[in-house]
Amino acid sequence: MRRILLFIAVFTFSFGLYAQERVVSGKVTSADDGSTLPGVNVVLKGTTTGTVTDTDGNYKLSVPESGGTLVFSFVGLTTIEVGIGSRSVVDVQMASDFTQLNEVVVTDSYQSIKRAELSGAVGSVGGKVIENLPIPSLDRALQGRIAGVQINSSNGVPGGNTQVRIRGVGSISGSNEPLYIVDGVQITAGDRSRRIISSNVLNGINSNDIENIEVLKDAAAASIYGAQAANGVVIITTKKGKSGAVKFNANYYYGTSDVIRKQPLINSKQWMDLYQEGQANFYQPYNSVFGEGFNTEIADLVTEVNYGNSDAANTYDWQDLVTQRGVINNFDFSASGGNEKNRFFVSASVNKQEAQFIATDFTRSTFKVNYDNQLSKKLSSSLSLNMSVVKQNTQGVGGFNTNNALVGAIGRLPMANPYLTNGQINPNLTYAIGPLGNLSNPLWLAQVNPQQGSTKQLLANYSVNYAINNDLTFKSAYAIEYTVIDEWAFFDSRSPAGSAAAGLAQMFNTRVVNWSTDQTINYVKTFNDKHNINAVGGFSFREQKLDGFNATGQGVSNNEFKRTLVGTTPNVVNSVYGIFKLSGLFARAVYSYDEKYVATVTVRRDGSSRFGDGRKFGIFPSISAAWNIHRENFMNSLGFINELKLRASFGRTGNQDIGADFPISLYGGGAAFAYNGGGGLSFTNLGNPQLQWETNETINFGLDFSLLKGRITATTDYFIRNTKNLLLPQVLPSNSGFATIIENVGTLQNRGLELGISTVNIDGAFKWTTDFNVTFIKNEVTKLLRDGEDLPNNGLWVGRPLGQAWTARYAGVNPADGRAMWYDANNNITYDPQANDRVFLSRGSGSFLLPDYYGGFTNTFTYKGFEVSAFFQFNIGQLAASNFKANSSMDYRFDTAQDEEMLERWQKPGDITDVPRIIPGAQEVGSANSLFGGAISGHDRFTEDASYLRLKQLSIAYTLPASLVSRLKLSSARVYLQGVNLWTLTEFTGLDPEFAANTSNIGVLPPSQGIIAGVQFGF
Amino acid sequence: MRLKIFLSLILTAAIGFSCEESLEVKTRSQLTEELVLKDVTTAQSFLNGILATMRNGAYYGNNFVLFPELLADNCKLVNAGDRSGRGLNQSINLSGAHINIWFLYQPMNRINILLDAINSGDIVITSQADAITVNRVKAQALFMRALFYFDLVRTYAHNPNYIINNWDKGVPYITEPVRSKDEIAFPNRPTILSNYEAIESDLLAAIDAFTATGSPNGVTVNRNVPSRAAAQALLARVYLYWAGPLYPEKYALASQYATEAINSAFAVPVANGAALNTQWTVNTVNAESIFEVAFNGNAENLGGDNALQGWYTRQVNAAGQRVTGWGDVIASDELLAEYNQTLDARFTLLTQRAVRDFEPVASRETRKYNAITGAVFGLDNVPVILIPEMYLIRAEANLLGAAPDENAARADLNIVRTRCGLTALDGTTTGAALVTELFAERRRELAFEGHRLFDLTRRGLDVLKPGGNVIEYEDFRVLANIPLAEIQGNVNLEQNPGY
Repeated sequence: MRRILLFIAVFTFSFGLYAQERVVSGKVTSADDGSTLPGVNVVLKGTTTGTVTDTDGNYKLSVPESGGTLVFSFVGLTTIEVGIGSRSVVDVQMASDFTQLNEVVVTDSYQSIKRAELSGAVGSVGGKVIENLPIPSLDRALQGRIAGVQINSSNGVPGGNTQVRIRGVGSISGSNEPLYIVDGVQITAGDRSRRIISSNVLNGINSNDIENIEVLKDAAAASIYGAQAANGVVIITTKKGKSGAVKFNANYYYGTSDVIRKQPLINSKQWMDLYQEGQANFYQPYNSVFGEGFNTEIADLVTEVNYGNSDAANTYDWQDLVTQRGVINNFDFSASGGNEKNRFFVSASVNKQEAQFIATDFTRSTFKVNYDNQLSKKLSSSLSLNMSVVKQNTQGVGGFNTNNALVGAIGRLPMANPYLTNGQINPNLTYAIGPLGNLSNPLWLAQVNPQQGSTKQLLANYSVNYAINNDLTFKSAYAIEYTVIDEWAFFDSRSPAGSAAAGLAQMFNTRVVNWSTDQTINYVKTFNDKHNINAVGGFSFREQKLDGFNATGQGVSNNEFKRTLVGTTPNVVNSVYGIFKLSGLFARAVYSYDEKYVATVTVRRDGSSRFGDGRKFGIFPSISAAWNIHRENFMNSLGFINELKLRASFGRTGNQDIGADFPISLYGGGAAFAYNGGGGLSFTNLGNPQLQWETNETINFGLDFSLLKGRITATTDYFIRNTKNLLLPQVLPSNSGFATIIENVGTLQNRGLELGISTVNIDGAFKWTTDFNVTFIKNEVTKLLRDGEDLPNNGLWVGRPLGQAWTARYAGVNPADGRAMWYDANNNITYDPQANDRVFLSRGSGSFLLPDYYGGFTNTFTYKGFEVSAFFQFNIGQLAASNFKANSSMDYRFDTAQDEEMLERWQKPGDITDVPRIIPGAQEVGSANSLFGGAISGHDRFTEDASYLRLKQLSIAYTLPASLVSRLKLSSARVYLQGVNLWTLTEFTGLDPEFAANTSNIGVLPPSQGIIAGVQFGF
Repeated sequence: MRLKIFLSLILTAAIGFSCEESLEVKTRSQLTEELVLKDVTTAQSFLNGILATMRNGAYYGNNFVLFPELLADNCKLVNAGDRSGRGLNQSINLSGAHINIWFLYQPMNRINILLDAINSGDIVITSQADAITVNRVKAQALFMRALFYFDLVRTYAHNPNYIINNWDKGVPYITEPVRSKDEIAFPNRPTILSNYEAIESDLLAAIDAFTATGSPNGVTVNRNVPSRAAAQALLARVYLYWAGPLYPEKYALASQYATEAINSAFAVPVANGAALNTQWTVNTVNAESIFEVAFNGNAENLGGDNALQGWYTRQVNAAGQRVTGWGDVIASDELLAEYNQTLDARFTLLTQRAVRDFEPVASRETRKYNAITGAVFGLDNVPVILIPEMYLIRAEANLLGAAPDENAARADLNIVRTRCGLTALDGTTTGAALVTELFAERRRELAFEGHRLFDLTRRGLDVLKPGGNVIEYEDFRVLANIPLAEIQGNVNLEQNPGY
């Protein structure tokens, strides 16, 4: 933003020069980062003599022989006065002026609004904050940075999808992801991969290209996006060129990544002893038939026969074998510059990450062009292009699948030798005697069953601005996203996944064409110096089409064929197609009186093809107001208050992303309906023509203040977000032909308090600043199908949050017999809990989806060229299942590795422990992983509070002094170190507390920790 | 001026794009109602979609075949051996662990839609061949409706001869199609008798429609789809269930339609025990089947874990390690004792299994659902009706009907027996001994095919579980529970007692 203002300044302050006695010159640089400042107004005090600095921050001014005082001023910076004395060179540094930050503007697709005139809730992160973070998709960078924004990783694979939740979870059946707008291109978030584990739609954007990210949180800010705005809007703006000499910037970093935590597992000897004990426990009842001691005798025998001598067994750390030190290489280069008419920013980057897990990587190349052109005095245009190629190698599949390397590795017995005597990988493991006896070696699977996805994406936006007169501007903008995703996978005929079909080769091809246009007219005018009007009206249309096909061939003649269908027999051939269209008319007017009293009205009428005839359109209005109290005269005596602003808003937004085709009845085909070689058809969708929008009504109260000349600034918001017309599956009798139908029945509320505070603790040469934000959130279902009715089978209860944990409670182990015990509904102990013994868990927030509160804080220390910054992020109260621990401390159904906790098991009467006795088979209820047909979450033994505090980012940077840099013929040089996820405080015993909000996280690769080192040059 | 023109164009576009028409989208992967069921091709595809339901794991794909065995006395669970835990609840007849086929009402609606389209003349017929196809499709759809209802009524309701505590509720019999939300009905449960009458009427109509196609069985010999012989055979089975102390007249009808099915020569009994083994373990299509569910290709295979073969058998390698399948459900000792273990080819169909840890006793597993030799594990057709059952039905009708004919019954039993290598019964086996032999033969012949529980309940007999537990006929667990969601979705639907 500041650069735009710089230009305005350049054009505004064009002075002629007088004939003078002598000349002073100098350079103006930023006290914040040492960069040169163009466009700074330099005036000889008491005169009209003045100039502006050029693009390199240099100025030259004629002054009287006697000297005088120079006044340096620029919007957003503290004005300074410097006596010239007898000097002929006067260099100055200018610092940011917090009292003037109000002048910063907030820009969405349609309008730029001064912060002082803003009455909605908007959070923002500057590009500098997320610079050089070794994360493939930029949405992760928002984690902990903005109050009200919660990010969960869906998957730790580099480039994996995330869940971004702005102000809680507002939908049960529909999407909960915000709308992304990348340089004017509207992007619907989500995972578009159809074969590889996970692929994030934002992977194609290089985070170092980003100038600014804004998050529109309340209805007042977001309702201009109508039917797409229910979950908030994230606006990503990339860097633009500025006029002046061409500047180049080159940046390289290298880093490594490692697993954060491994599951603690027992060694071979311990495992075999455990096995022996399990056998003995199993055969215990037979002692009455065959005599005392029969059970241990047979147990010894079975253990010896199956696994050999326990004292001689080697232990292999399978987790070590499937993990590695990941390597990250990133190079990016940019050039920017221009003149008064043309400005450009061009960048290219390559980012390659080998993950901390074998056979998993991410490679991205990007090319970016931003080109702004002043075509005539009234006409200007702007072009933004972002091209990217992302390639991801992944392996295995998600979920509890033995072909998943992580599941495989944690599951493999410690005795199983991964290598043959000749040192080669052993495809099928010895000691695989159990029911999963055909388990393959995950190292081998990673080699023979590769999977790859490659995404080519073009984001383009072109807009033309025409200044009709001084007040009216017409803008015509066109945007397109074109994405092609190619995925393939191969399953070796010798591997379990491929053996049934004698080898499988799969190919998937997906295309997304997403285009939109916005036509707007802006009106900005000030009447009588006091009445400011900033209004926009316009029209928008968007269409997104996704089509693709996929084919699977079986019977591979040679396993060295990988990425081909040639020579295979068709097994599955399929195509997919989806389309939606959106059409909107909108208007917003901001009125302020002397920037003191602000009122804003927005209305959007939006239509979506996702709804039935007569229900396609919805109206999404909002109103908001703000009062800049510090501009009142009565505040003059309170000089320490630089800013004090009250905001209030109310409005409505919609969620059209409900999944396709619910309103109309449809007949479809598919393999499930084919019979005896003939194609089949079925009645696949019972239409509900009454279906309508899920709507959010948000009330927001905000208070912004700035004290002590900006030493303390804070923003607080309290919001109530009511979601109405929630889509829920209404149960139908089967004779309707269907099990459920989607209806608008439920209501849901998210309410919360957001606080963001920034302080300058120490100012001067040594500077210490702190940024802190926290969000308290409360989520509650307020109505389901019928008043007062709960839907326990869907995990939904009125008065409870989404994701509420509802299970039987573990009561520990009976010291007498070692069996697991449970509490029944009456708090009595039982061995055999029934469905109606389930209760709401009260630990943490009680929810797998939402924490009690979350946020982050950053401390930054700068001294001369040094900058040290530590960013901590926290998420408190969210529940998670410790799946891996559960799967490896169970009942011996499978020959899998066991958790160290098993060493604490009950062994003899009188043992006091929480870990039940070991016994094979699923005879003892609840020692197995499921109760009531549920997953691990079926009982609470492995449900834990996954609260954490994490040192998300620690960065140390040194900017070389300008004197040294100029000797190197450079304009700037910087070296930096960055650590990610270096330290975590949590009591969660699973692999990582930062998993996606879900009851099960098994098979999902957890995030990594790592360090990168880099250099950055400007020239 | 140019600006004004441009602006007015934009304004026009804005207004134009803001109407409903601009938001019309066309689906590609699915069709809207007006585009389907207008021609014979869609009618055939729609029928295929209904037939595909047969493959469902809850139906003939697995549970409907397996659970009647596990809930009764032919099978035992070797849960500990494989530690999978599945089937445990069925093997101990835990309340609520029963067959769950209520979802058949969903494909039933598609049958009603198809029949409605045919009966109302929506299907355009342009040739004689079309007319034949439409008659065949109609006949097959009626057959499927009868089969679904018969399987529902014997699962969720008592036998009409053995109604307990006056609980004579059958299952809702719906023939009206639901094409839109407002057509959804909320039916209550009519009487069991009305169900049998409706099934009878559907099957008679199916037989007529098959006849109307002009070819003897309605289809060229294709055991994978319903034929006239299949309709006759199913009707014979329905009459046999219907027959009993209260409806003795149905025995003659059972005998009549069993005879018609036999006379159709659609399937004939195999020649000897070797052929019997081959047809089960080698052939894709069972030589004796009148109707069987086709499983074609990998995509339709329920897999090594969940196909019938994956429950009934386990493949091990030379080292005794399990390769695929679980073999959780094996023959009970009581069933094994029923066989002549030296002569009966059906006993050799039961493979001796190696002794394993947790499974101290050698056991036998059935190879009835073994795939074709060398092919994919789990991929095998599942027979619905086989010709020996017709001989057994006729024998039962001849023994228990109004005019008992022991010679005819013995002759039919001998057809079943001699083909397995057993000696023929001679005139010395008569009276009660012959009846006992008939039901023993029926148990031996139909074991593992999903008949056992129904053969006990239709005769009002208790289930004597392996291990000694007795599930008395009066026990509420004899009937399946209607899924809770159905009761919630339809207030008129009454749950079976005890649930």
